[in-house]
Amino acid sequence: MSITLTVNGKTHDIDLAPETPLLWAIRDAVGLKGTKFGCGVGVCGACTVNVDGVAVRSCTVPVGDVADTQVTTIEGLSDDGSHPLQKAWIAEQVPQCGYCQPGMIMAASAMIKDNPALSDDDIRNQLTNICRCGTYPRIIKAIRRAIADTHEA
Amino acid sequence: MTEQASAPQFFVRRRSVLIGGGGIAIGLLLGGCERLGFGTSESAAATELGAYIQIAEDGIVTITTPGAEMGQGVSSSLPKIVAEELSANWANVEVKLSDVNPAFNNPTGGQRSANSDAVRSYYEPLRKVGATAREMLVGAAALRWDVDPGSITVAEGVLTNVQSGATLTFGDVAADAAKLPIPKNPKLKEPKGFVLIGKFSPRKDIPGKVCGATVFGIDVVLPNMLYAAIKHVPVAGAKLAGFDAETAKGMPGVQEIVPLVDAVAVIADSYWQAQQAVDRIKLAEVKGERVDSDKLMARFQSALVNDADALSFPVGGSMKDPILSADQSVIDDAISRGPIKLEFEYSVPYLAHAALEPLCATALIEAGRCEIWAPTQAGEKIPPEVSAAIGLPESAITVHRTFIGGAFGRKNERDFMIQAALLAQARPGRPVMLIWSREQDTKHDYYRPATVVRSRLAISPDGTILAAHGRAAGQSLSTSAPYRREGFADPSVVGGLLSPDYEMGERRIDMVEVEAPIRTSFWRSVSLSSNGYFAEAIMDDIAGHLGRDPLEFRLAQLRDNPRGAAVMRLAAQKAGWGKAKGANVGRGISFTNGWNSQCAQVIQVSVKDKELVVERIVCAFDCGVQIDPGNIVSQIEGGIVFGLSAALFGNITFRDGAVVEETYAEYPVVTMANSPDIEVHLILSEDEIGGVGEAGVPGVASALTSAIYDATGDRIRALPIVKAGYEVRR
Repeated sequence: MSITLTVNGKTHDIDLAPETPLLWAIRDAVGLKGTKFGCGVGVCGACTVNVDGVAVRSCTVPVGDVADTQVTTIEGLSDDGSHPLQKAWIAEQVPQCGYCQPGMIMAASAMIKDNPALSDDDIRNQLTNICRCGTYPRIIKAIRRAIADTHEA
Repeated sequence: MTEQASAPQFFVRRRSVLIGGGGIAIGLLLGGCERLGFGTSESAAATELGAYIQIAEDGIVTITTPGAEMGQGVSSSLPKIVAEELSANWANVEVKLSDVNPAFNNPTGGQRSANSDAVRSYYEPLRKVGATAREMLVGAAALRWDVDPGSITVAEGVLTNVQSGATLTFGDVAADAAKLPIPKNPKLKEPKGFVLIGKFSPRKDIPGKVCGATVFGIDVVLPNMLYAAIKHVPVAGAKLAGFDAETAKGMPGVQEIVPLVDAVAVIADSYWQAQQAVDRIKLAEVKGERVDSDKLMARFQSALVNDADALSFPVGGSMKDPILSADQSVIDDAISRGPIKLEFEYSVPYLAHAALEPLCATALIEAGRCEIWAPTQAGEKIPPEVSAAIGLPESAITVHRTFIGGAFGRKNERDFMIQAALLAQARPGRPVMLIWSREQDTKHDYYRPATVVRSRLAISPDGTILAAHGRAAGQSLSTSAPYRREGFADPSVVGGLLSPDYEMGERRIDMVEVEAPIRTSFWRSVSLSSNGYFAEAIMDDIAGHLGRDPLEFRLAQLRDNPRGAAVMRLAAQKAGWGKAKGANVGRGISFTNGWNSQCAQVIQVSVKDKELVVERIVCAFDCGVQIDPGNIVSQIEGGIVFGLSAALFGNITFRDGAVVEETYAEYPVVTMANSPDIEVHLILSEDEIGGVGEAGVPGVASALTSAIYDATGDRIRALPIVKAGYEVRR
């Protein structure tokens, strides 16, 4: 069955069962590998993408449900790593293994959008993605830096 | 590292040519996030030097790291050692990962990344590699200028003729340098002249990791790929007895059902299709032993008093020169004489690795060769084990090591790569990527073993420890046979059960090994993951019994270890040890001496009505030589969070033979919501080299339980902490 999926502004005709999780449609049919498989049950957040402006755990969303939406993945955040969050992640040297970071950055991007008054506690309570390397202290610093840079611009 | 006689090959390339020579390229110096592929496998005909360094005409220096990158930063730290002696400009360095290849073995003969020994084992050899290349570049410039090599200085990729002021870049002379003979004893730099080592350098792998461009094991793309999912027999230790795949066979995308010794796999057009199908395979009931957490605990408890079967272990010294434990009768006698006799029992559970990238590997069998791509920590052990499994010679097996999405010891095992190779045999000519589901990864781990410990002590009222006996009961590691010595207990389980750093009179460490069909193996910090807790917990318990301050008591008992004393004092000072604190606040301190590094942690908590907030962890750390202080701090922060997850929550349980926990929902780990403030202060001891990757883990559990005791008077002696009824808040 053919589903039309718009990812990072490009349209793709995908021949997958509609119950296929969006995660696997992105990784296999569209071929974008940045979005990761961590648990398959929506707990870890490694699969986080943006669907019409909302952070979504793509392993729990059937691709058939997102046919008429705009999906943004980590690859679509910028062409060249220049999104404030990406620059801040580099400046604070956040990633260690890096596997959780695309999902973490996508979740953070939805969280900070239009939300300059976010406190550290807000970040802690809203960003529930798992990082097994323990980069949490640096994530908070990087988000603070990205917010500051965005609002200086 | 062997001396070699043939000429090195500094592969001279133009900027636009895709890097060849094996390994996986990660250059992202110029920005841009295009997804990076990897070179096809070319065997390591390159000489040792050429295996490590490639210099292009435009001056880009490509350095291959011998380490497996799992987050600890060896894809930058090891190349940085080369770059320092080479006198390259770090901004012009690109890094490649190494395939499994003896050219990259460390002096002890291995290429696996484990045991926090990457920098320690490669430091001197990589300095020599860099220095050798530097001298050859200088030699080429000397010939070009017709001057003495001694009148040429090198810095940041530029060679300068001191007399004339003329300069040449590495790129200008690389081709000529490659033709020169290789100096056998290059002159190394004086450490005080280091410009890279000891300072912060941006990690080369980070830009790719924030763009989603990095190729992890699960991201490998090859033509005509198939994918596989797997279902293991749930009962620990049981073999496959039979299965019903009637429904699975007919499902969309399914290509083949493949039985293995203890599992069934489905090969399909996509992973998700394979997983849907394997979920519908029914496995036949298996007979035999069914482990169960309660029964195991009872067996460990009765093993604790089984003196006859206890194996002792050295209490100090070295492998060559061990200090043996006191005999049972000697320690019994010493303890019986008191004057104060104390006995404590502690326990720690089975722990999973739970890395975020689930186990996966890709294999291709074609024309008598087997090619593997995997997120593996392992090295030299892979070809012989795959060879034995699939019947091809070792020389026919190539292993590409991708970036690893977390490992913590699990990805040093070869099981998942052997499985991928066996599945690839079912479809010769097509690459097959096997991906384990999260549930399979959790339930078929090689666990950090559970241990019950009974510690018996004789002390004087002034705190002198006159006799100490630490007895452990539990499984040994399934995989530690190569490291065991006849007549001694398993070093990977009991090493450090009593700390060699504190003055004690008679000392005995022993263990009664309990057999169980559960697979156990190396977990970040190995024996110190449990003994870092046990060895420090008795110090807190003794101090508590005597009303002594835990820091003061440790310093009073500490044997000649100025580095250890220094980290304890610094952590305490930075944490405000001894200063006033609020009513519900408690502080604890721990000390870890491991991998030739010294680590002290002060943990501050607040507790109210069994709601625990881990407020702050202050760490002082001394690993000797610092390749990159920024990366050291991040590794210690990460190790602390890893140890905190284990201390608070980690608990793998068994029921009716099978692991109960499935995903992070049932096996929780620390998240942002309960992550404390963490400060790491580094002390530089220039004459030492210590390991970093595991050092932050062992000290968390005892400092935490000590802090909870300080706040509440409740002494927890069984981990995880949530078992004692605490709810973790922030």
